[in-house]
Amino acid sequence: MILLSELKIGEIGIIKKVDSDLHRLLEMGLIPGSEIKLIRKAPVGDPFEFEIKNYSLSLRKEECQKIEVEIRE
Amino acid sequence: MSEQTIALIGNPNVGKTVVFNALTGSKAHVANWPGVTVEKKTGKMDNITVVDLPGTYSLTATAIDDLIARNYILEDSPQLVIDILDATNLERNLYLGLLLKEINVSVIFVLNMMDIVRKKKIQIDLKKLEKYLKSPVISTAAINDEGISDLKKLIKQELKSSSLKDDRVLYDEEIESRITQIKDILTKYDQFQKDDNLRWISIKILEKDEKVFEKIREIPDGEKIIGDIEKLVKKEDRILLASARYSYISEIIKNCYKSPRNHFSVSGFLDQFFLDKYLGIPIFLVILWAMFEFTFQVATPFMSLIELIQEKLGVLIINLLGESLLSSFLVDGLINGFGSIIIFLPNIFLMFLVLSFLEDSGYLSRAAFVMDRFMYKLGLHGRSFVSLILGFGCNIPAIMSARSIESEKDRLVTIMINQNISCSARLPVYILIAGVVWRENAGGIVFSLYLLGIIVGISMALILQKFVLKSERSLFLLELGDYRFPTVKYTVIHMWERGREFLKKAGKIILVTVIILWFLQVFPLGSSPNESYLYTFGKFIQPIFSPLHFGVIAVIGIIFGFIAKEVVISAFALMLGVSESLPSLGPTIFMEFGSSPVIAYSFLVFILLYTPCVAALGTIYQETGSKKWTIFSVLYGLGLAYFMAFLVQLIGGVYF
Ligand SMILES: Nc1nc2c(ncn2[C@@H]2O[C@H](COP(=O)(O)OP(=O)(O)O)[C@@H](O)[C@H]2O)c(=O)[nH]1
Repeated sequence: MILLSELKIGEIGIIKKVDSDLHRLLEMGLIPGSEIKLIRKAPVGDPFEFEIKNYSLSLRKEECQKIEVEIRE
Repeated sequence: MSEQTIALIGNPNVGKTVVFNALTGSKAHVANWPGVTVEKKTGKMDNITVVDLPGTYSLTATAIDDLIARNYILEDSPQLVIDILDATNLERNLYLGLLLKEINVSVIFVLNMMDIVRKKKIQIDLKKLEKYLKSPVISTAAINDEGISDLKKLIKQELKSSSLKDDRVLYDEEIESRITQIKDILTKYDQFQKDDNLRWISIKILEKDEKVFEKIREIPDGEKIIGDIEKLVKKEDRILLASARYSYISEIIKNCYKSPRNHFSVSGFLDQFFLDKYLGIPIFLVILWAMFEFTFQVATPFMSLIELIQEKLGVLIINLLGESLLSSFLVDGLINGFGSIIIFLPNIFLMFLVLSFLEDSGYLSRAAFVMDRFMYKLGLHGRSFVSLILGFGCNIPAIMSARSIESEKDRLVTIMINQNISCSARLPVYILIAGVVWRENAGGIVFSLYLLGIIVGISMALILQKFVLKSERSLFLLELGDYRFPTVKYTVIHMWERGREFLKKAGKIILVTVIILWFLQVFPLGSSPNESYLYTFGKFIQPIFSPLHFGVIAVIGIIFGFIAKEVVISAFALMLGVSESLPSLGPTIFMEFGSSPVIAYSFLVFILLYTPCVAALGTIYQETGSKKWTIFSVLYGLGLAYFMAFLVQLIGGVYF
């Protein structure tokens, strides 16, 4: 398992663990079992753009470090 | 028939504003929600009141927009809630839909953007969707007015027969049994027996919703109830509920929604350039520069025209009425007052023309993505960047543009520090004085003032967040939707709305201030410039500025600067009896500062840092809806200006 922030561009992760304090992220679809793909990082390296539930969402590294994923082979 | 109210809700950017305008004929009443800087729009569809709720993704207790929306639905009990969904992005959009179904209220689901759905060859089975959602579903392409008249019909029909049938959406058994457990406990208490939102309350309890817990604590027996239910709530219940909703949505999508895979995405293609590691920032800067060029190139002739008309009108009146108190009032009071308002319109209109184009096209969220890192350090959101930069042109549209910033704290900080960004109206003052005092080094001096403004703004952002607006760092959640081609109609509507609001709210304040200043300047009748009330007033408060070595005339210049910064020059000209066009004006002003470069510089620092103008003040009032924040901004501007000017003189050695 790795942190969401450690995903490489183009990789798809399956969310394993999200802190329940991140309620709003849960409600945006970042729930255990969801697939999440890192599309790109901003020019200065933060924030990150992901594809999840068929839409594009960007998050800061800070939040990505609170979510654990498993890379989908 | 009693007054009927419906509320519009939806995720951001689903076309809610367009639907609102289509339903109400865009005659909206705009105000703020009580106590916050979130805009509240209400309109009329025939005799039905339509309330536009803030764009939200969910209904949590932690985000202000979410809270406004849910409190409105729960407490003001609109007869009907219209949930607008982006049909091209149904999965995420349905989440809010399910949250609404947990509340005891009638809902209509509007699948908007059907034109794009057809273009993308997405198939949606509306009938089946209706069965899953247990509420009427209708499709629209609001931008083309498609489906709007059907929607109106449906609304009226639903309002007539708003008997709540069995329209609950149920999740899987596990979660339902947990909800029932909580419900069973609650119904033991009298307070809850008649509550028709028990399902909602039970769900929120499982989600450990702070506001619901607060409410329960307030009722008698509250602590006991909490004791009873807390045992039943587990930490993972939030995850469980979010998962239950999304799994219900998955089932809906599987059965009602077919999207062809792997179609070429224009947005994806464009983002390869706009968000590129190396090109992203340069492209953003070029767009920004183009925006300024366009605004000022086009605005300047209009502004000259307005000044010309104002001048000609003045001459005309003096010719007609002769030099009299009445003509002076008309020319220097009324016409000057209106002129001071209208002069901002070209800037506001043009800047919002470009801004709404960028916003509606989807680029502005990309700009926030690209620049967020820089703002993050200040505790702000990427969106604040554009708003702050606009201040270099004119603080007024810049302050207004802060409205698109999601978090209330970020919005307030962005509004407050905007006045430290040196707008273009201050430049003539810098140039006149710096040109005389530092000659060939004037450029560097002017640059140092701009820089100082930025440094002070950054420091204030940090200080404000440390001491005044202490809320947590706002969560950065940014959706990068598809690029869209903005329509001329809505770009123009947005532009017009901003201009109109400025005229209505800020306009009054400007007019009143100009007339008061006129009065002070002209009375007592027949007095020379240095016998007027204004001069007396200037002399009266001058001692406050003695430590800064500003004389009466400089103080009067500062007072006039409230109208607009470029007026400072005219005030000097008037008071010193030197024509504004004469090259000797600069040197005469310099003599006023005892020919001390340090004092002259500290005066420029003062000009930089105090309130930009009453128009900006009026805009702050209009945007925050708060007298407290407006007064705070004046005091903070004056205080800071005074302090920094003093500091300059201290460092410059004036006191030694
Ligand atoms: N193609 C298309 N675009 C739409 C439709 N409705 C709204 N839009 C566009 O979607 C963008 C967001 O609309 P707006 O009403 O401002 O969204 P809001 O944030 O929900 O109020 C704007 O650029 C609109 O012009 C529609 O039915 N079809």
